[in-house]
Amino acid sequence: MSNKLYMLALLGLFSICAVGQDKIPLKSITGKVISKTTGLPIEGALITLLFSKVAVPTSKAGEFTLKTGHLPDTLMINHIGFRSLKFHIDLLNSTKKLYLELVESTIEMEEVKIVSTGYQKIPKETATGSFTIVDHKTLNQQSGINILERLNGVASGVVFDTKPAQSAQRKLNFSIRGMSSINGPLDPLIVVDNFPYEGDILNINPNDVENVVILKDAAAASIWGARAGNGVVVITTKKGRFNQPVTLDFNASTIISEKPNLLSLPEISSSDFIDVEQMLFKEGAYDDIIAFQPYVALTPAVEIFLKRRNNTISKTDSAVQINKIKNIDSRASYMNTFYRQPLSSQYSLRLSGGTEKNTYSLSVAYDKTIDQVDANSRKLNLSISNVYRPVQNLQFDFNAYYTNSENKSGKPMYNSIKVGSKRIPYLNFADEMGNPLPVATDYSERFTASAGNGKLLDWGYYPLDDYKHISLVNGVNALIANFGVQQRFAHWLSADIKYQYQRQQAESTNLLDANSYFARNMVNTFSQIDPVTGVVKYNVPKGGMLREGSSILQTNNLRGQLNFSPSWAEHSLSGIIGAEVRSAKTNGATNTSFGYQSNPISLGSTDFTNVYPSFVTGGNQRIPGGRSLSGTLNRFVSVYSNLSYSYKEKYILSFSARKDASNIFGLSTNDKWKPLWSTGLGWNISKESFYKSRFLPMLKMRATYGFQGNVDLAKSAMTTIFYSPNNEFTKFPQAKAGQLNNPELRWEKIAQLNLGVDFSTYKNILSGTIEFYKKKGTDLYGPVAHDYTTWGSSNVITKNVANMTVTGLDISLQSVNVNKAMKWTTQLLMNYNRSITTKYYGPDGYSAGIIGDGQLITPLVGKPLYSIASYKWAGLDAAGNPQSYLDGKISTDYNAIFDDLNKNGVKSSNLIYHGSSIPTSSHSIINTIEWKGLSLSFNISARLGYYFRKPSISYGSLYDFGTGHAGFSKRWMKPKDELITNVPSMVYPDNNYKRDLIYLNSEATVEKGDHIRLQYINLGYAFSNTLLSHLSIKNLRIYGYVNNLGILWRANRAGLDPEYPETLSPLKTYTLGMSIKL
Amino acid sequence: MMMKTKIIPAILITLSLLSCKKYLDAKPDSSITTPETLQDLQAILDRSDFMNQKSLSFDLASSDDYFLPLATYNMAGIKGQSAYSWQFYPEEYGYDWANAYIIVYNANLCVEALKKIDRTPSNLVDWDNVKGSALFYRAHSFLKLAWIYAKAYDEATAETDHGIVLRLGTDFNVPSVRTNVKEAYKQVIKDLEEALPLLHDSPVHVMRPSKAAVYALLARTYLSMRQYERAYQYSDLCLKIKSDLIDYNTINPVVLSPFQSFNAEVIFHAEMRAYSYPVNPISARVDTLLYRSYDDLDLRKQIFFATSNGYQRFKGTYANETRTSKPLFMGIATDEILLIRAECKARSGDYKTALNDLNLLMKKRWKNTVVYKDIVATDAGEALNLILSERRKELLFRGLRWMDIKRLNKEGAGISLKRIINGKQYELLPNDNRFALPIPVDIIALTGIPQN
Repeated sequence: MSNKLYMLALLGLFSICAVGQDKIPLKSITGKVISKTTGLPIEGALITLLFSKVAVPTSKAGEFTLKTGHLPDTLMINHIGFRSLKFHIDLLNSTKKLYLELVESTIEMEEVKIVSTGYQKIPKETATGSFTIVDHKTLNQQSGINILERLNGVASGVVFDTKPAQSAQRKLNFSIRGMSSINGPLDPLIVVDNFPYEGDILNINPNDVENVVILKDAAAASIWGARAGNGVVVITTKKGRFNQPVTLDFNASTIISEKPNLLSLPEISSSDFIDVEQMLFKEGAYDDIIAFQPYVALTPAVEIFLKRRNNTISKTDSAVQINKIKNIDSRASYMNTFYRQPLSSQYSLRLSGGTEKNTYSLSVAYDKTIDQVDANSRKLNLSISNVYRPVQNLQFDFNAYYTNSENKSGKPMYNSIKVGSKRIPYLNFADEMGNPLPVATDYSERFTASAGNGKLLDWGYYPLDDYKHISLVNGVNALIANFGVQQRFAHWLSADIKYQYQRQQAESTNLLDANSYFARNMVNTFSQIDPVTGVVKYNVPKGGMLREGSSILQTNNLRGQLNFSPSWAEHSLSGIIGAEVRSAKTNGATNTSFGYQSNPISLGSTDFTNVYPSFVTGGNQRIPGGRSLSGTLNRFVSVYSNLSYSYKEKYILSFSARKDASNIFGLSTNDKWKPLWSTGLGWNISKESFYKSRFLPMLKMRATYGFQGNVDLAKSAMTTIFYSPNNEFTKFPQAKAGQLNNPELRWEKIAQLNLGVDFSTYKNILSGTIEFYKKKGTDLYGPVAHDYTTWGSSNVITKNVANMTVTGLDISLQSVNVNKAMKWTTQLLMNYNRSITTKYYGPDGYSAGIIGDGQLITPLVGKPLYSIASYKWAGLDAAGNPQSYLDGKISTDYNAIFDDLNKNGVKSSNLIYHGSSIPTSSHSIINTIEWKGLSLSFNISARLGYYFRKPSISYGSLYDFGTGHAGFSKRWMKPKDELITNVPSMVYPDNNYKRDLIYLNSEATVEKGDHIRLQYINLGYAFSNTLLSHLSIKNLRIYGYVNNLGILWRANRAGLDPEYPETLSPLKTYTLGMSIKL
Repeated sequence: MMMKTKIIPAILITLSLLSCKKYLDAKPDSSITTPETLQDLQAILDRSDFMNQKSLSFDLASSDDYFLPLATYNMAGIKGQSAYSWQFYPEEYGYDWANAYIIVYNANLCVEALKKIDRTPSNLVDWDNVKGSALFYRAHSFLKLAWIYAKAYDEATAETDHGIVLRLGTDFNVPSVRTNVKEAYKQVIKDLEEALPLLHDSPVHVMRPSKAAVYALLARTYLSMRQYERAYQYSDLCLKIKSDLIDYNTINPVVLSPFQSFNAEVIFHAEMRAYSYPVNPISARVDTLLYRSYDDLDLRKQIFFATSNGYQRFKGTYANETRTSKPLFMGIATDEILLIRAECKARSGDYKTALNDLNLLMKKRWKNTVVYKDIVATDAGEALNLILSERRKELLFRGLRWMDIKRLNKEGAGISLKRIINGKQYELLPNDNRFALPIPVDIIALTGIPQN
């Protein structure tokens, strides 16, 4: 696997060994490869002449013969399980039969030592930068359809979190070495096969990925310039190899998850909820709605109370009905009616091989997934990769990667069905006979039963059936095509041109057919009944609603690059210099139409321009729908260079620079020559003559410093106006001035210092890397106070004004604990990270935002980006009211407490600051035990040093939105309860929402987030070669994984999962699979 | 081989010669454009949610058009409570200030961009409309700002009283300064006079300015300057173009929103829909004395009001939307202009003509089941009082009352405002300095302009 990588990467370095090439008559080189420890011949080792690019595998006897017309050259010998060997070969020694001994490599992960930056491949040995390499074996330790998710817990410096996506700035749920921006994009740059990838990451099938390299420090990442600020993830897909026999790989696996247990969600009980509704009803909370908006849906319990009040049912009937619904549990209804065990299957088949002149790889993969509510998706991947080398110095390559996927909607998710915008805990979808029951989601039955005197369509919503009439289908067709040509002019000089085209076409078809509630509701809402003739006029034609959306993303990348690697005496230089142009274009369109009929297929015509009266309220409104279009275009022009000089392989000096210009930067930014650059130093101490340590035979120190950029593609520097749909009233086209001209707007800049040590002890018993880094983000996008008399749309404007720092430590250690018939290895990853705001707009009062749940970035000078603070808590008073402090005294003056906080911010004496709300350190430890064909590995991870907010009852939300919480049952109910509970008493009317907030955001609801998880356990068995060789099978392996095994230890006493305090923890999944190689 | 050797250098040279300047001039978002064409400028002015639908409410919130029952007051927030009781509140990023100056910015953007567009025979209609409209919008905002943030116009002190910030360009590097009251009104009049020949008599839609609207706004301006002769002239010119009145007998009084938007009386439509003060007609209640002053035969008594928890709330606005928000009409309608003409006539002593105008209006407001009896007066003073009383009853919740109190007190009307909150009485005496409402404190801090 790694042979090919070595080969490619060393192309640029071959000249170190090859000084003065002579063209000679074709010559045979023969030899034998044996294991140094056992002395036995090694079969299947790949022998490569690096310059001539001739490669052969060794025979059963470990022997090989190569023919070449160029000498001297470097012979490279690779075999899995052994350390690679380089051997200088010239006219002299090539005449004899060579005996080559390979040393077993103790840790296979070390195998991949070549890192791809997307621009070049460099041996890690000679690199000064900070890289994490995740090979496909490690990637395969976790199952799942998202390649990025498989980095969780196995990649040093990469930390996953559960913070929600923050608008367009954050789509991925992990970060590399912490956050590097406050208001800018937070996602690392994803590179697939050498170019930035803008499509959906789910398009990439994990089975097609050869390896993933994480570029962490400036020396590694700054080659990516203005978009490297959050680190770079470089994904390389699998390719064929020269001189490789035809190989067929097949892999199949099935993942099954447990069924979600909704009953474990801490909801308010139906009985409690109905008691609250009864209280509200008696207090007259619904009277206005009943009187003035009789059409608005009320919950089933309130309807019963209303019937009782209107005397349409007896007291006994009312009691019976209420008792009946008190026993219903929505969680159970959803679970029994709509939920199932998720299931997914993955298959992949790859054919690969190569001759002297070309390599090929063809693969097909198919995934099928059914989720917890029966939504299903399927995905087909096809890939083709070819390299063609017609003559020695010229090489063409072509790769194409195609994805076709489709997702279909399933059944309703938990809590998606509401009654008059309220969620209720006693929903029931079927009666005892299994017949569908209606849920009054928008309008009351009092209204719908008589509306239109039977002239309208049935206005009932039946969840049990409705999803059958809804088909939300999303399809994706995506293609990544690469074309490259590489030409070598001299042994130290080559040039290549690469072109990549990406296209992702997403099509969504939402069909809510004529029987769906949505369509019936739309038709009814816009129906008009002539009071005289009784004729119904349908402003929304009868039939279904069809909403079609399509978006096309296209990128074009063209890169020209010169690679050089001259060497003289004990000096060697290697570098690249290149330029590229890139454009990314998106186009989107949506179209909504009504009156859809399937047989014969037809659409009605609808007027989306004029307003029509609502049948329900009489108010005029436009029919939502019609057509909308959108489009964006980003263009970049960049030049870059990367140079590395080494002396005696002991001292390495590296330098890189990149300059970007773009159509989104301000003019003065494009015009200024301000490249992002980095420099690095490496010192291989162990190669010094004075270095004699037997304990640490390998010791290397590295230091780098440089700049990475971060650019928000959505921010433009011009005074712009945005057109929006025509004016609702006048029908005139209308536009809005979007922002002020700011020609100075430029990318954010992140300076990073990285200090690293690589070491390994004798026989690699312990090896590892320790790195310290400090990042300083300057010119970050941030608000600046602005005299809004000049432009009133905002009191602040965005400029490059904010600063932050990130400090951290990445430790990665591997140890071989036992290395006999049984082999036991341990990998330990430790990551410490702290991102602190150092400069930001606003008085301290602005910082009151940090009192919350810590889910949003709270830029507050001197504090972590994600932090959490609370109101000081003084318990409940004798009446069950929450108490905090004001000027050091216990207080229930909520307005004054709020004001004090707004005025004084973090300096307020009512505030208590806890700390970071994301882990300040994350660790994982992976143990692997191998014995004969059996292997077992498991990953235990820890997230430490942070706080989270646990949810509790908010009476305001309970009254208004039906959002309850199990904490309700622990509320203050009678005097002295204040001694045993922190949950305030229920009050109505709740005139001051601040009463809820004082409790919900108090010290009483903060917990330490530290916890340890058992992330996965894998068990695999590889059948022995002797058994398989009869069946002409090269390799056969069966495996079983268990993922998300749950929490082993947690600091909080509430028994909550700190990463999922309000929702279910990730479901436990079981994977069974097999892989076979022919 | 030779040919192949040259492939890459050839491509590289082509690549390096690529003109990247032009390549990088592409627009990053196709829904974005830099304002360059007349269509762009007209589209900015037609963006009604900024230009027409964010009228200011600080003055209404401070006025006696409404009161708040204690429970509503308690929920109004400190900002709302302070406005209600004329207490200073250190407001930051004041919506009123910001919304008024968005309009000013957009108008200035248009005026500046027009300098780069030639006025040709083929585009002059559109060109004139953009320029005239932009000037109208700017004047409309400046006038409202002057009514709220400056003292009432007084010829004697107009050159020393603090005015408003008159921003006449888009360059945000030009510092904001407060001019005096005289200059503020002068600018309003200058803009309107310049707009006058550029606009058509009547607009395509009343969300757009027109000549009638310019005359009407000039009449308003001069009325608030107490230059009644001029106010008379312009109200008369306006009514010559448009003088339609709705007969309230055709209006269904029992619905929640009796009037349609853009109805026959509307000259220029503006409204308030996002309430940063507790003046939302759902929560605000009408002064009980004012309500009682309507005659039972006066159709407005039923059409304008609905009983809610024992008090009256206002539903007689000329803006109708039942969807989410309850807007209040803040534009200009013929009834107001007719009342201006009547008032000015009465002040000039010609009270009979004045009463003709008043009766013209009142006939349309009176139940047609009885014979309408003309309002009569014995002298100009009595006529003026009758007219002012009907002005009070006709134009409530239109953002006119605050200015009326200020200017009438200058005439010696002696109107003082009282609030009783939780047993505590607050009073605002005639010509109190607080009639010029406080400017947001962040603006004061950033620009150094004097606070009221």
